[in-house]
Amino acid sequence: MIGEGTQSTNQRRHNYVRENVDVGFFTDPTVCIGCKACEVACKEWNEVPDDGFTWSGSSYDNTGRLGASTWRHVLFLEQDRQKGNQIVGSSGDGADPFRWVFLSDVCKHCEEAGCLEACPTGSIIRTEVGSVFVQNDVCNGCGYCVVSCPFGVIDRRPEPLADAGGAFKCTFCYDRQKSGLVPACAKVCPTESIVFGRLDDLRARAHERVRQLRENGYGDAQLYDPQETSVRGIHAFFLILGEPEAYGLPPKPEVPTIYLRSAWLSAFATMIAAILVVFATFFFFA
Amino acid sequence: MAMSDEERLDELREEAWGKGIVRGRGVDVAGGPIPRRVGYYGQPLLKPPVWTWEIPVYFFIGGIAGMAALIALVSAVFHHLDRARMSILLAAIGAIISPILLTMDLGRPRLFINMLRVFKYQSPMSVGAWVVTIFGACSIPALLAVELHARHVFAGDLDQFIKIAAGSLVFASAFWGVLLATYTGVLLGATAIPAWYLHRVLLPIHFGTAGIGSAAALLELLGYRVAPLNALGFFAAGIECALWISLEMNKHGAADRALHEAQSGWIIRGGEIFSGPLALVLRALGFVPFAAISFLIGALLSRFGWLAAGKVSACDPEAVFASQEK
Amino acid sequence: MKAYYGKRATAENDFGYNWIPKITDDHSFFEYLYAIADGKMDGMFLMGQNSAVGAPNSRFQRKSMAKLKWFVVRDMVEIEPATFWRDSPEIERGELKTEEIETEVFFLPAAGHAEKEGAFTNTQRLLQWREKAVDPPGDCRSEAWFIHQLALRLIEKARASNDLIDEPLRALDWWYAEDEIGEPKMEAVLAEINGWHTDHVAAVADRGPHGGVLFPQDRQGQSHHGPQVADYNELKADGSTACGCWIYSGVFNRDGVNKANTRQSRDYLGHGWGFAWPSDRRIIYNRASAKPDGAPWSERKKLVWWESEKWTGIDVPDFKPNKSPDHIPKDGQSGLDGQRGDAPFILHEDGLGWLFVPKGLQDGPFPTHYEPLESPVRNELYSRDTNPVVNWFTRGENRFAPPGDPRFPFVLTTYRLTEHHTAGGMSRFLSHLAELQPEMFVEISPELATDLKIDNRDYVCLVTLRGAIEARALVSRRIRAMQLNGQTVHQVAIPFHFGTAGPLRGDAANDLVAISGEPNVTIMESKAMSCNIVPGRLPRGAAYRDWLDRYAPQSGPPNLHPEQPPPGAPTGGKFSRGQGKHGKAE
Repeated sequence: MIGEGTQSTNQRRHNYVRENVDVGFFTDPTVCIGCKACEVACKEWNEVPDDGFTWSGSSYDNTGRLGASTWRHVLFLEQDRQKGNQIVGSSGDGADPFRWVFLSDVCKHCEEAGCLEACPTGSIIRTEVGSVFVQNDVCNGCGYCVVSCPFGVIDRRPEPLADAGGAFKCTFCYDRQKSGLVPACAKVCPTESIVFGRLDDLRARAHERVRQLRENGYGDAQLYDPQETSVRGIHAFFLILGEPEAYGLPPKPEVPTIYLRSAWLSAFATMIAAILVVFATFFFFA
Repeated sequence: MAMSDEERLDELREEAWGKGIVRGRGVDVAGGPIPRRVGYYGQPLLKPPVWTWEIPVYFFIGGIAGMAALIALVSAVFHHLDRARMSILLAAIGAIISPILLTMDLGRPRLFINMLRVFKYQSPMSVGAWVVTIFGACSIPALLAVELHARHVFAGDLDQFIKIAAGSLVFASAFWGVLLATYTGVLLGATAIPAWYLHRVLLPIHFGTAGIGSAAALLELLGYRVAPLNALGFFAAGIECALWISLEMNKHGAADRALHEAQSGWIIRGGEIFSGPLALVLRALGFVPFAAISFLIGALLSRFGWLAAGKVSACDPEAVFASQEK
Repeated sequence: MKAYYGKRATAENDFGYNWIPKITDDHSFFEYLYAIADGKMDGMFLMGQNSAVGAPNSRFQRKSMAKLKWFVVRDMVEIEPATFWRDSPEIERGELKTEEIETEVFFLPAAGHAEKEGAFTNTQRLLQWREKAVDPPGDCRSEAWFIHQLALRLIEKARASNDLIDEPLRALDWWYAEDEIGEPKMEAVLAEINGWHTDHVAAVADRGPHGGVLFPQDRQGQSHHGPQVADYNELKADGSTACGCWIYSGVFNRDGVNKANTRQSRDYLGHGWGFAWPSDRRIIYNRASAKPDGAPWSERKKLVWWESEKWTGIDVPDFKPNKSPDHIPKDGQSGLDGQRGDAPFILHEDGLGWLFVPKGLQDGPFPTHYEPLESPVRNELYSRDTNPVVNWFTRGENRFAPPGDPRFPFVLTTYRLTEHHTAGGMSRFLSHLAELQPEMFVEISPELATDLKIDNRDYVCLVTLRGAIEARALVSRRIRAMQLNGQTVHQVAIPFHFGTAGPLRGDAANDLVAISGEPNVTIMESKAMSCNIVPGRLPRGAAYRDWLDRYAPQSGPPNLHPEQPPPGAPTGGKFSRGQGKHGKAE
């Protein structure tokens, strides 16, 4: 936490991997300044290639969305809403409100992860700290995780980028964590908008922060951590102002494995029907 | 499709260089100077499938091969050995082409073998990889055994043994074949893409039916103009008609509009018309080869249509929001 | 002087004072730019700067570069000044022709900050040592290496000549040893900056672990100097000591510890982390933290206090150590003794803090409001629109629009982006930063965009009297129109980092900005000017000039603003002979 200096969970060394502690990210847009240091630190540490110099015209966001070569993405949201208790309007009468919200998006590391379930090679695994990790040397690039992620995070890296063909997403800096270091994005975050730490601590802290903000005029502050859907919560959760839709977050994400039962039932019924029909035609029309 | 931003920009550039000034409107015109789009600047919430033409072709060929193995089994049971030989030949050819197509579509084809590191029942892709492999391991020896038996290469007990082996292998091929022809529906149905998962019950039926109909149609085109196959043709086209009607009736608004609107919608619709009503009418009028061709075109087209719809649907934030409204 | 000339500086030759070049005029950046433009300056070294993009009126800057005979550019990447002669916009527009440019341009690769050692001094006066992480790649070398190698070569040439003008070079005491890639030892330089006794047997107390002598040998292996001085109080004017910069003295003294390189804070002021000049004093005027009677105002935030007849505290007192809080100067006392014991601002004659500033400032004594040199509105506060002592740098290439000029109805401001660093040499060429802000843009309010029929992401042109650039429109409600005296004035804003070199596209914002000089330290006014916006793309090639002439006629008198003096008019400021300085006409 800011003010804790080198004792902040964003700065101090830890043994979470050895101790099998579930860890998480709590990202708080109310303190984010939109510096994008997390994006750069992520790409630098993980040697993620740049993926094009395209100017978007969407506020200051020229990154667009998470993908195979973007594991942190700062959203720049311009909304006609009041931010907390800010005084708006030329005479402070609240007319013509406007706010600029920054939020650093990242892989959610779901409790029930669609990509992990879908991976046919066992390349995607859950680590000791509860994060979802793609083993790059195992992945053969089948692309099934891509359509199985309810948050649209993981993607296959296209040519001609380095290491193309495999599926990539945030690793939760598993390599750093194994050495007792903090993920690169959290380490560099100058305002600790991204907080890294024990999942249970962070959840408690996030609820406290929401309460604090609501008391201070941020009536639309809420936690985005879909625990009531089949995703059963995410390890990288967010505080958001307003609705999740505006942040490109699905309001009710579901892990696709819940569709397996009905789809397989239909498939088995089709199979049986097919066998019966073919036998029947040969029997009756022979 | 509307003109893309980049095309429009190029046009603006040319105009600017030509006249020195541009009076026309730029890009992102909808809704005034600030783009107001659904979600976060209209960015896709989901990732579109990265699959290219190999996958729909694989769906098509895998469907034919799988269902051909079933037809081979039933033909053998009813002592149409000739038909069985041709069917198992189709199955074996399909069993060879299918993994090649699948491998071609991989980001890292050299690592195809990693598919067989693990078996995960909860991953249709893993199930499918094993099914394709086992199907190949059954149908290709089955073809060999059937041919050895049919050509009486060996005699006596050995031939008897080969006959039993051929029977078993054809039986196994048929079993894995029907799985191969239908699991692909689950593969698309159990994903996060609204246009797909909303129709996860329809997809296996559709893919299975298309597989039977295509296998029968192909056999007919290869000269097996027999009543059971004709009946299968009627049956498959009839089911496709019903599925088409069901798809047109069972709309989910914005959530699955990729199936009904735009290019992807028309590809699916075209596929359904070719393999459903058109094939049915042609067959009823007695133009059997044309009906068979129509059905095959429809089956292939529709596979492309479903992939295209998946791409459109994943990139449509409104579809995702609509599918999660409850 | 002893640090410059060593043993050659003696009392007899006034310690070599006559060898030192003298300030003869205003040698500020804009003044010598004008000298270059007028063909009065032959050559220039450009190090750590990108004046073709990062300096005001960069179009004029680039054109002026072509007047140089030689031009040395040192940077980590091939920045615009290194290539102005072949791919600047002026080449494309036919304003400059490569074959007609006689400038000889030398581009020398520079080492990055992780590839060289040395000290940073920040605006808090803190010196922090930076160690070298890796050797620079290829032929890249530090600025220190360049100066050092240049000096060695020049001294050698001077020794071979008998010309009197080379005497100062011959007299230089250039003693620094080198490492294996030719870089001078920067700690030796810091030791010299700290200062030493010139006699190596100097009688000093407490010589420390190394005998108090650091880097004792010169390039020939001879003993070069004596023990370090403890701090500037040991310095003497008799030639027995030498010091590179007295305010830094103490940073590397007899204890042999490079205090800029210490990394362990002892207290909340950070003593023990780096070295704050002078004397490791962290807070200037810290006497003000204590009440007039010498007790701290706040126990929690105390810095220094009066205790047992002297000043003491956590910080080094910025006050005469034994001057009591109730000291009242007597008649005839001057300097520090002339200040009261409760007057902490010791650099002011009266020791007091000043709101009313009677001297020192060119435009004192109080802050007030004048309009920017270019403004769409008149000054509501005075009959005069602009600061009367401002430097206009009047010139045909550097003209200002008069107040309320209908051709330039919008206010233009410039700013920086987090993703880029100044003129972009250290960010535009790095893909991980470049992809975050890849193109020049201009922020426009929705109201103005609607008026001008501009949509988000359209190309527009921005025009001032200095030039025109092209940018993509970023329409945002963050930009609001101003209501000034009942009049709606639209404001637009542009980042300034872009240029033609490197992987990104974007014109230089400074093509629009005028050269001007705030009267105290000659800083240009780049945050407010007036401009016009023309939707569409900027014509390229020769068509640019016709286009520019249509929207910003390039002929006419250089002083369009009624308060602007003509070129060559008498001027104020510290150097009244400066050729570009005008104003203070009243």
